[in-house]
Amino acid sequence: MSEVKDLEKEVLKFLETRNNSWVFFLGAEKLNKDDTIKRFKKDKKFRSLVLSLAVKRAIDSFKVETD
Amino acid sequence: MSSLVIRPKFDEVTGYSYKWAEDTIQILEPTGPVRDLGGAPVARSTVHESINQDNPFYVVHYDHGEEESWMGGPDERVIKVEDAPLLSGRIVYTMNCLSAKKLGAEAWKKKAIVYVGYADVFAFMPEEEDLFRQAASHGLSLYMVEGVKDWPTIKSKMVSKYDEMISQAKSYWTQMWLTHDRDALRVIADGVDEPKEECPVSRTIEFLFGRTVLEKLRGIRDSLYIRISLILIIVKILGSAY
Repeated sequence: MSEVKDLEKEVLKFLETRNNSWVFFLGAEKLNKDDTIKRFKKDKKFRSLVLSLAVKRAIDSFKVETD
Repeated sequence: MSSLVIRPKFDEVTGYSYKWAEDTIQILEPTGPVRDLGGAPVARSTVHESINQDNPFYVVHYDHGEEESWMGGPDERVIKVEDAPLLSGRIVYTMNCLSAKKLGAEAWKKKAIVYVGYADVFAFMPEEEDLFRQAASHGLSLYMVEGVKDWPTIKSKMVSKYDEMISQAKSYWTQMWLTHDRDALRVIADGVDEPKEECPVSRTIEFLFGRTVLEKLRGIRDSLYIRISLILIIVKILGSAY
């Protein structure tokens, strides 16, 4: 559980260090740095999506090493 | 063979999808005429007229999407789930949100050769947009340029292309959203990403006897339904006459 909290903290730290022109598109939505941080903090579904993608990336990285 | 490329443009996101769809036009142009609908909002009637007049073998849609429709403008649904029969016998290639979920499944049931699309929202990073753009059109390029005609192979090569793009991405955030899009990709065709039947009876019939038998039984059911309905109407008319 504490690992999940650590991951959340690192994601937030990553987002906070983006410059002000940073944006990404999630479907029809355009999210800038502040929108993304706010969304990550308040929207449980979005937060768990981001965390699951971060974990998936880690799993994929191991797979690449072992395949 | 003619093609129809639908790439409406009416907001910032569709500015990107409009630009990315240029790749599909370049891939399709050597095979025959391409009707390019885009650059502005596109009306449902225009799309339907184009399909009925040109009978395109390839139908491409790059824009916003929903589970049951393709968008042509902010409130304009150019293809809806009930229009799935229009996609029958065609190669349907999309880069839009969600439409593989219901519309794609229905198009395949109504005999589209393939429906390439996404079963979740499509996300992308403008700062590394070329990685998303390349992955998005790769399946069409495999089919048209590299001559790969087997859709299960195309799916697996598209996934590999996403993996290649992930390995080239500079930002972990970009890698995450390429992973998200990769996992939302559906290439719905015989032998790959075939939608599961929701009805347990249909599922059992398909499992035991195969899809062809299920379709035949559905045909019999539908024709019986029409005949019984006609008989009931005639009986009702005769009953009211006497």
